[in-house]
Amino acid sequence: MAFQSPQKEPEMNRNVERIRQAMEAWVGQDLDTYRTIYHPDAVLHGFAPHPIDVEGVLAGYRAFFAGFPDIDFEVLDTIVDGEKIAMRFRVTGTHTGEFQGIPATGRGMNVQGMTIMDFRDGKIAERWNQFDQMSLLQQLGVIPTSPA
Amino acid sequence: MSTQQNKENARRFFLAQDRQKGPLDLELVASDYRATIGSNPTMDVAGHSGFGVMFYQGFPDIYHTIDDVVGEGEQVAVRFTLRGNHTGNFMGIAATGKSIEVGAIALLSFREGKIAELQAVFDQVGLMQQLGVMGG
Repeated sequence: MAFQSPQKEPEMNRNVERIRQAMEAWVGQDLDTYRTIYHPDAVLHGFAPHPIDVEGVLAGYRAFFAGFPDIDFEVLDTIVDGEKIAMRFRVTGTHTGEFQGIPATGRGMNVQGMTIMDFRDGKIAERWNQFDQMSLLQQLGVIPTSPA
Repeated sequence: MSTQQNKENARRFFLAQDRQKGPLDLELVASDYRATIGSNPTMDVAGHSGFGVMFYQGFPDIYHTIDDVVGEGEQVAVRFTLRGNHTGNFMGIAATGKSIEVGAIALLSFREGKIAELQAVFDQVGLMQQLGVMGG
């Protein structure tokens, strides 16, 4: 796991540091620790057609861990603006387990995403995510590279 | 340029695409501008303008709603929603008349007040599902 920590005021970095710790837990597939970055009533957008709760997101991550047991995560950009943090990230892994009904292909995944997190009292209250699912499906060979 | 100015220009960038029906506002982008959108190959100014035009041909009434702008220094993230009706040909898909609503987040990197790079992820799978050309 790589995490480029930007040079910022320590107070501004507190939420960034919390995310760094949470993502360390995520890469270790320790969702009990990871979940503490969220308020229990956090609302998460972009993981499904409608907003979902923390339990829903964790279920999605379990599916990823099952499909990509060597999953890794890298932060590419971090933008801190008040209580909001935007990040561009990359998720990598090898598809050696069943993932969302797709049997293991042995192929590599290298997919980027963007996320915006809104903090309240040091925990995420709301999050908006865009993960490049189209690239993921192309890399797994589920859909052709040129959809048109 | 201040963060505030960059945030304002990031907003203007997307609204200009609506006004011009696809092409980029050349006042806002650097000459060596690069854009990487989802799984598509990296594009230059002309490439991204053409990519935009393709969308406005397929969805002539499509428009951006800016939902959030998060900025720090030379970097600005913009969360927006695209809404429109599929009344034209889009990437070989004949008009379905369906209305679409697609979320996106873009990260814009500024240099001397101009946008030098755009990296964006939008719900491409959701778009295809709403058009009925992909299962899910």
